[in-house]
Amino acid sequence: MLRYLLRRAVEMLLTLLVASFLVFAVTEFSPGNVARKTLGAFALQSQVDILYQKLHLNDPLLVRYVRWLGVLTGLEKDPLQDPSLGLDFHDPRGARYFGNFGYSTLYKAPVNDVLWDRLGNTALLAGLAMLVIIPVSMVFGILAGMRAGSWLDRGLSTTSIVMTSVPEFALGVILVAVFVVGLHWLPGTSPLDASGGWSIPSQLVLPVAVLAIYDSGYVARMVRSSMAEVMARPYIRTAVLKGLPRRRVILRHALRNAMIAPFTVILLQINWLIGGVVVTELVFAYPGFGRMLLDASLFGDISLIEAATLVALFVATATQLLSDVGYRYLNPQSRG
Amino acid sequence: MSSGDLPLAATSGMPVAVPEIAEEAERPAPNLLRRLPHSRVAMVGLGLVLFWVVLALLAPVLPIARPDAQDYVAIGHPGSSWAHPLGVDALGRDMLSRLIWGARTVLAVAPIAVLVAYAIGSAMGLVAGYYRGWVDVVISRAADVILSFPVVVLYVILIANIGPSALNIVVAVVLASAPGIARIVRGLVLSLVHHDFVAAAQLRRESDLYIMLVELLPNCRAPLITDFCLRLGYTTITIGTLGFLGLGLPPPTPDWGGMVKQGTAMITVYPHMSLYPAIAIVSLILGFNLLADGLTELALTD
Repeated sequence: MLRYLLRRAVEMLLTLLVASFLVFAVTEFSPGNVARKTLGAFALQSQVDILYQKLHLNDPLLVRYVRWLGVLTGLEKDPLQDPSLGLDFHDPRGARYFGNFGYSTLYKAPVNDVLWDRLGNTALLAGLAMLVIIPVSMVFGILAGMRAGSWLDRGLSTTSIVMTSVPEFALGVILVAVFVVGLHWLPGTSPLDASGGWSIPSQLVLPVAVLAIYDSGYVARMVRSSMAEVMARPYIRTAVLKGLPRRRVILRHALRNAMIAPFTVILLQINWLIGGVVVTELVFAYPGFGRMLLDASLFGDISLIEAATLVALFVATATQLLSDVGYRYLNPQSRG
Repeated sequence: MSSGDLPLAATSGMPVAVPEIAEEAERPAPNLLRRLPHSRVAMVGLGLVLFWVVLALLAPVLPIARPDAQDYVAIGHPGSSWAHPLGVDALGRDMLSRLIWGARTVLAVAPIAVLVAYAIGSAMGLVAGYYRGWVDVVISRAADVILSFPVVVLYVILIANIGPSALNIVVAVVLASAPGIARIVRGLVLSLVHHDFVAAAQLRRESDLYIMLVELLPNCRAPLITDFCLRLGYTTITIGTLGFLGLGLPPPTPDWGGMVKQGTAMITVYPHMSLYPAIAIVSLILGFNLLADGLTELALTD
């Protein structure tokens, strides 16, 4: 097990390295460079050229990538914080430390000052969504998969398909039209700031609903097919034929095996939610990680994009690892 | 009965299931598309998709305004009227016309993107599954890296940097979907490659290309048809989402996601401007998903 974990950790690190290089390479296509983005649209071309020279931006891609890695691992100083540039960029943590994601050219602040607050807000949103997704999809999936083909199954399965057919942005707009414009029950924006007259919990209802409704439908379908598959197995037939009450067969015999596959699916939803928050946070003007990533990408803020990608990928690969380990633990067959 | 013996009961059920699966692979792939009328769900889905396909095809001959023609008088009362049954948008452009022309956009871009992704993904999967070895390692690892990105994050970073255009959206969809398709095809090929028909073809000295394209690929058909429908629905969501994020087709091309986005500016006064395109996109995605669900059901009950 320890060797397995070690191998997976090395793979994870490699994935992060390759992905960060890919992102670095892709940002090459965007117009403008770090010097122009640091100084803004009104700086003279000659000023931009000087900064361009000083930051050695004409070095080959690979050299600049390795330099960025050096800053991240604390082996090198962040070049943008060099006082001789006269930019007045200041990181209270210093210019050289492990985990230095550099300076955000969009927010004109150290990435580490911007990133983590936003990530906390998003974790709140995603966590609340998970609290809705898990029970709703379990109940839907188990009830539907219990008797495959029954009217209850038909009804719940169709509901799940409809739920997964509404993209987050469309759902957001529909919910806003009904609950904000029509009924005046809830606020249309969620800045997490109660000065507008709406309490913070009331601001969270719609964003959580958007995230939860789409995903519950998807997870419910997974739970249903797993449940239906287990219910068709011979040992369940044996249990029913020897006269055990139906409730006992389902709760004690079927569920244990039926929950193995959905367990991994539910963990992987965390990866899905990271993407879902980009749209949801834009709809509701929520100060989170997803909208920050969108703004950074549109602006071309390489340091922030890289940091956000690494965090997103870390969460994604870590949950993948967790779900694989959990699967091995839950499923005796894969333990060999 | 204690709950401790449950895992044992579950394992004892497995040897029964394994030969069933093997048998299934021996049989020729069922002709799913011909049996489509047997599934009511699939037919409803097909109906929804065809509704938009027909409207999109007829767009140039329908008696509707041009999608970029502005009616300045109607801007004052953008709700529905005789001249504009679904009203106009904030620039006085006919909503119905923009919805129908928008269907042309999404119904052209989504299938092309998915088809190209399938061509590249199947090729990758066939090569990886048939040759194994280092080719397989390289392809599978590359796929792992791409697939570990949260999808929307991948799209946002790509399109924000290479610029929004129909071609770039296709490129992004292909890059994001081909690895997933490759993984499915590779798995299918691995389960097929030990069968006698492959050995027979190798004995006949057929070329590797022939074996991959004529012997292996057609046998992967059934699961791929369902996956194709699901991916069409998913790609429609993606294109809509990109439009909504401001990374879709540049204006004035009518694009449903972009229309929803533009409508949100007026949503407190005239919700129809973003509601109608939102409903349009939901109906098309629902069509693809119902079709996929019906096909899955048909494949299982075969």
